[in-house]
Amino acid sequence: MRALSDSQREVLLAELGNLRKFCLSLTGSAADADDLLQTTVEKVLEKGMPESAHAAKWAYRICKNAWIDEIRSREVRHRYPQMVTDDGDVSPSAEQTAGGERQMAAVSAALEQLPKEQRLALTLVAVDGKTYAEAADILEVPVGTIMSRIARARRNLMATYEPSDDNK
Amino acid sequence: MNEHDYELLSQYLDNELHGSDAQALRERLMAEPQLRAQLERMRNVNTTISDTFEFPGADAVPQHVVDMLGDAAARRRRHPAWGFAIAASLVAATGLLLAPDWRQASESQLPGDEVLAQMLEHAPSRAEGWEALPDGSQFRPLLSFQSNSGQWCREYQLSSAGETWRGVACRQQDAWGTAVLQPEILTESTSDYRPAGAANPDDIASFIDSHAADIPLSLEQEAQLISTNWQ
Repeated sequence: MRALSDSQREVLLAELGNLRKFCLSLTGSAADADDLLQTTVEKVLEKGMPESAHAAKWAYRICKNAWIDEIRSREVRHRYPQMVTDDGDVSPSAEQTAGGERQMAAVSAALEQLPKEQRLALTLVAVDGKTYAEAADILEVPVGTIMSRIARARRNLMATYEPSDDNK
Repeated sequence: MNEHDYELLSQYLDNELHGSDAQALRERLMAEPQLRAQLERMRNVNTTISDTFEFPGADAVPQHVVDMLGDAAARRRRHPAWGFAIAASLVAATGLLLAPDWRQASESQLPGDEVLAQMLEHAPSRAEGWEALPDGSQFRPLLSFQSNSGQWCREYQLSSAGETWRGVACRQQDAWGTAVLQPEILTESTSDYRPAGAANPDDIASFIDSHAADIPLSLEQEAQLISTNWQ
């Protein structure tokens, strides 16, 4: 694996804003989104990427893997709370009293109920505006799999989540 | 509602359903209130999710993360005109798509504006059969919908001089004008029509998906509007 070329750095830089929004939709918190974004960029720079790789898609994959790693480590912390310090803030912060924060908390809680494969596919398409083909490329699955994951994600969400009247 | 129906609605919502598949779903949506209701619910949930993460600052990248990319960031700061070029090209593309003109392509073959306007004003949408026009061509309104800007719009097919066209016309200040029009060909393997241009596989579906404020009108809603001259 080689260090990033100049053009790959340019592409990645241009995509950072969208990548940050992707992080936000996965974590549901601005601070966690910034952490996940930083981790993603660190890993991309540390491990490099093949010369032929598309920098943005590559970064999305790294980001997805970093998020899954974080989810797994959180599960371990929840399973062994007395052994591992949980430094995550699980109670609503003061900033979450604002309407937008409340909505983000409610939407994030609903998204968290989804299997992570469904959540990743839905987030890439519904939040980041990726096409099914782009999402398939990032998640390295066939387009048909993306299509069924998104449909199942929406079906599950409709069963568990009702937008407030303000959002309709 | 089965698994496949959810997949179709989901694809439709994401603008991933094209051509005859999209058309077939639109026709089902007109005829099946339960399917329309599910699409509406799915759209509400989807809009809530996308709106939640679409606010000023959602894409704000901390400067220390930008700085990690080093030289590329510095070079980018020296070339601020890049974004303007993209914005200018978007404006040009939008202008092309929205230019109201009956005759974007093959002018002489299509019926007159007045005839088409009368059809759009009075003829109900239909899944099969054609309305015969005085010059021998045929017209079929396919569906009606309200645009994001509040105009009433109709998708239609037009068969004239051995060619078939599909378009969308919108009503503004008591007059109908076509917003987008493209030729279609009848596929050999099925009785379906598909866009003739390979470069833009389905401008009509894209236009409807990006401009429709809601799902298509039911036949009853459309009949009510026709009876009141679309007021």
